[in-house]
Amino acid sequence: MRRMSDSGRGSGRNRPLLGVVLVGALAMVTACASGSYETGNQDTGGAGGTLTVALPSDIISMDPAMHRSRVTQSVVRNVFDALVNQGPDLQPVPELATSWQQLDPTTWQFDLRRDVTFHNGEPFDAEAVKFSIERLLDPDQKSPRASMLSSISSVEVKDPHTVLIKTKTPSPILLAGLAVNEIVPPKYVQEVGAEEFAKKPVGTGPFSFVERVPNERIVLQANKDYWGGAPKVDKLVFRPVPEVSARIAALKSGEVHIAAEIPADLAPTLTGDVKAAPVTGTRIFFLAMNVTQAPFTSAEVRAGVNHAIDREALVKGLYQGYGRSLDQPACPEMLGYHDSFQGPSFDLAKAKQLLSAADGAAVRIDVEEKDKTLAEAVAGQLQQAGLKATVNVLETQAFTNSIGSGASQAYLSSWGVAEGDADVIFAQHFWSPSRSSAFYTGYRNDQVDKLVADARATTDQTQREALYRQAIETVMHDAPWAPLLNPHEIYGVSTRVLDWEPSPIGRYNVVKTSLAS
Amino acid sequence: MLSFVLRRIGQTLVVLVLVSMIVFALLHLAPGDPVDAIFAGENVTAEQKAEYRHQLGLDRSPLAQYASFAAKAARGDLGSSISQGVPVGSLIAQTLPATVELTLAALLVAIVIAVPVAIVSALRQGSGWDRGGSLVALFGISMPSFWLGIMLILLFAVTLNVFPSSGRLDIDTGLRPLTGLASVDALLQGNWVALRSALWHLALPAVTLGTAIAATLARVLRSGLLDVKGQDYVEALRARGLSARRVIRHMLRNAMPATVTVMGVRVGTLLGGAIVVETVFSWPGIGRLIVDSIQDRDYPVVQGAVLMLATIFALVNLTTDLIHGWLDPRVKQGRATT
Repeated sequence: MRRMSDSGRGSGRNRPLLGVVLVGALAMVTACASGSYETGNQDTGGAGGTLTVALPSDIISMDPAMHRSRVTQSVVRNVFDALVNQGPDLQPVPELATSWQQLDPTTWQFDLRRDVTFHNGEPFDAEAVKFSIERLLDPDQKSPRASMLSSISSVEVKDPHTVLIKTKTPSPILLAGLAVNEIVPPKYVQEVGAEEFAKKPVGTGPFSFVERVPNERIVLQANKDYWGGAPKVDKLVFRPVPEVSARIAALKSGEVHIAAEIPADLAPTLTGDVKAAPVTGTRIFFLAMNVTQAPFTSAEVRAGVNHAIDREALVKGLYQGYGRSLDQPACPEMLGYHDSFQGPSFDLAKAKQLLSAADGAAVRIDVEEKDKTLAEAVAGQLQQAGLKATVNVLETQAFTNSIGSGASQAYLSSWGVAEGDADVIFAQHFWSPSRSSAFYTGYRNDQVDKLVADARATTDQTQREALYRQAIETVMHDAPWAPLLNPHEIYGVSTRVLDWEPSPIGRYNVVKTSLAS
Repeated sequence: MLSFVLRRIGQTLVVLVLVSMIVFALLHLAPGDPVDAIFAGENVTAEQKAEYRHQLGLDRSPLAQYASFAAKAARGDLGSSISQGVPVGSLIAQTLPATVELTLAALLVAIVIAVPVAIVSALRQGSGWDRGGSLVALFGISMPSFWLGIMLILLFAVTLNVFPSSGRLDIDTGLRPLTGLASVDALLQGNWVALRSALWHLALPAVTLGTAIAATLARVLRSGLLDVKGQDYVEALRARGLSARRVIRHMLRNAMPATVTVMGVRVGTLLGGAIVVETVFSWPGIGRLIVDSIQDRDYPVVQGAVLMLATIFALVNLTTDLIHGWLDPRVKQGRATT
């Protein structure tokens, strides 16, 4: 036995392995020696070059019907268009529909663009609109987006360039729903099936699809015939880079030109060839108090909490000034925002006096890991005012369960309001018919219920604004929430990127964007 | 030998069934479900969610759900991702090669670092070399991969701009996937642009992951070498006048069995470490697939991917046992199968 291991064969067998090691090491050494790495942009390929964007996560699907994710939509929207879009003020603007009018409270007529074809040559027409909406609403499609258009009862083709959409009841947020659901080519989708369509999507958008390697990249190519004008860059590449430090590193080393979701505390590190590009965000942060649990059963305590929070200090201290403080459950771009409302101001003496009603009760603020810092700062301010507040960090789904079951005494969270309409906040958080919703404070006020129900039943926007203003006053008087702030979205951008504006709803509108050499 | 292999395969199958049960139970015990995750922070009522759960079959009892998963899995069908709607098998096929490439490259880095360190440390036991080697090994074991990864990114990607900080391959390399290992595919197709790109992207993640394993490997190999160093046959070899190099070769051969076994067990660490490294370097591997899917409570993907890793782990250990048997014939006789 020993002879065997002593024989030369044993060592001979090790030789190929050693060879591989040497070749590998050599390859690395020669690779190091042959000069610096050319960044992944390959923007020498054409005059327009390749614009590369680092995303905070991978997308779910390239099928616009099969996701419920903002990051996914930010990519999908470059390949597809919708009937309408949202302007910088978040209100509806024409896209594939040139104009629209309400024929009666439940019937809307849309006039369509006549010069549009899908990337495969299929014409865009009223049939495509009907097919796309019906596909989304078809139970067999299992689209997680169906609930966004569930107010629609039927879609009729009036003529090839005119479509009628009927709703079950008057739907003031129909346009907001249409703005985030894209139009797909009927013939192609039926021909290749859903799975193949997600692999090789075809739309009418400014870019056509080239390839997607999950977790690695999505490559799009400029659609030279785009009805809105050809994009200036040749290619648009999205790369999921989940680690924020890795996104910043990729931006600084020139591998990507735009990096999404930069935290405010890291924005000052973006200097030299890169800069921070902030834009007003559409996310409202708030502290919700469960009015069925002591000490928040007391309206005095809830008012005390509202006066104990120094919102300006939070914006300056935690967000480096990248944000706005909020003293009502709405932000200025939203329909229903109350311009003349005077919300609770920071007043420590008043807060201390009001919070004495809590009788020294301990308060636990549930929060997700991502919002921990803000919750700790708020808890610190509440402690200053004499409320024994602590922070309880929960994993996302445990958090959702805790607040959904009403187990949370108080919780800090945020709500996206990209639709630009107060309905998004009120229907979900303060309207008792949606009590079974995941976000729960146990709050119920018949007056607010009626105001919201009325606002949901009319499409007269002036009337709706008035109703929401009244609702805001009542809710802030009852104070189940302490609205906190509305942080900016911050992007990291290479100084090579010209003519690009960050979007408040996370889109990448790059048709006019170009790259300096 | 055959009965040994059959027995080990039988054990492996039992382990895999248990793993699938535990993963299934843990996923269902964790709060929330895929539907909650899909609609997190969205304006959706409980009724709409319940309807969606029904469509996806998530309103059935956990036992019924496991039974249908197990029945399908036994036929090789791992079901479809709930959040993405694509077959789990294709998600694994897309991500596993990236992880295999990364772990193999890391193993290579580990061997390149560890073998010389172990030999020098063992031969010069107690010397400055030995103590220095142990210190480096301790450093390597103690250093968290995510920290080392970020440091390497800062130095080599941002400051020196030598290696890319993230991703796996440049676009437009024209590489066609064959094995799924980008560097191997590039080599097979003679696509030098792609090979360079693949190796460039591989360098930092492989060094990060390799360093942690190198430390363990160096320590195990060093102690293995020390065990055989004082044995009679080594003295005999020296007495026969063999060169120092030949003697070391013989020593390595005899220190190998223990090292191979330990490294087999450490493959679990390697795969676990790959999950962290994949996140830091945006490496599109199966580790990131699992992390993302756990967050999304995408039951079929987590079950399928973990089952796949468990299978690999079991197969690697089976293989190391077989190699062990081949390196050390005493094992074949069944005295030291574990």
